[in-house]
Amino acid sequence: MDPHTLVEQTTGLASRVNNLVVQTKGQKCRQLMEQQDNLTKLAMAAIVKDLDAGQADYTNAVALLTSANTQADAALTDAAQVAKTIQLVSQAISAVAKVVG
Amino acid sequence: MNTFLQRNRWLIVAALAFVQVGCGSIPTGRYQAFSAAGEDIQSAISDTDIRIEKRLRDFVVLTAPDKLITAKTFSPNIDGNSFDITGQLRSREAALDVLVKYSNTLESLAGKDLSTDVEKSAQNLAASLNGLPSVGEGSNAGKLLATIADSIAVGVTESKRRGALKSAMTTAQPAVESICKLLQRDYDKISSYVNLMRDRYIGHANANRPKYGTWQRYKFDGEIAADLEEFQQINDALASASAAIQKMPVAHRQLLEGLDSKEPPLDALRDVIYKAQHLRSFYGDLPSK
Repeated sequence: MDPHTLVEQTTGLASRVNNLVVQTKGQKCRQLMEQQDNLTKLAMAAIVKDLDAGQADYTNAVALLTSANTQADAALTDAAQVAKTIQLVSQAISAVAKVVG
Repeated sequence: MNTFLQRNRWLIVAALAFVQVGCGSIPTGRYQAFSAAGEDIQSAISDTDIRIEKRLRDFVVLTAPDKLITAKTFSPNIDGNSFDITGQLRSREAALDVLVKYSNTLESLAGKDLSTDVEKSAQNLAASLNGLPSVGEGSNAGKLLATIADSIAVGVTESKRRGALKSAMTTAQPAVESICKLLQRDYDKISSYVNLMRDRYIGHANANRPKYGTWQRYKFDGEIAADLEEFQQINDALASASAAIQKMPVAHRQLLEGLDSKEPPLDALRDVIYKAQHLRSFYGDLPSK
């Protein structure tokens, strides 16, 4: 797998979450903003470190990022999907943190 | 040096560099121009790195979680994972310092300095090699340049200067290429890193922007505009420095070929000089850091 994939997917998810922030209010909005901050920090950590794209953790993190990205796209047109998106983004954040840790 | 000379040092050196060189004489001006360009690039990169570090400190404060402040709240890490780029910036500065010290050594060797000055430059070059990575391309480049520093430091008479230059530059060519490749590789990383900070800054600005038509909005937008201008200038400086560094190996080769040829191609050297000159004007409109 390309060593840049994780950074690109993490950055892409941060961007999608940003679009959701604009559409939401209250607690969900604050949660999404915090997730966006965390995704950005993790992408920065991934840039700083030379990651091994061949590791199982890396592959798992990219798979979770892909799912979260797809879910975030769905939430953009269906507000009912936001809660599930927050949940999947949270899982992706944990997986990426494991890779850069 | 008086103010006029200080302001125009660069132009004078550049003009000297392209004066037709007589048969048998070393084209001293070209070496001075190459060395001055390296110093200008180094100065711009150092200034850029200071600004990146300041933006990182701001970013950490901007994105601090909604929790009680602890001693580590404002350190660049997330759940114990560091996202601090300072180490990479320092490594890049160290690699560039080697190139500058090397070009200073060439300048001394090409000029009419006393042998003590040549030796001093060579010793500075040797000292700068400690900053290169101990493994990989940087390590190999360091070994090559260490050989050069040792041989030059022995002392060179005027008559042997041309031979010493040719020998040193021929040996150093692969090292110059390796160091420039290392520096180029870091450019994409650092640029992406800066853009991530910028995008998050914009996200927070949009989330907290005062109402349209208010004085608060005007003041707020003015502050954001100034910060975004700095982000842009950091990106421009990174791109220009990268473009200049990319041309340095070819410029070095052209300098070497110029020792044997009356009219060698000098386009790469001119490119490096032009881009280095351009870098000097960065941040002129922004407050110093």
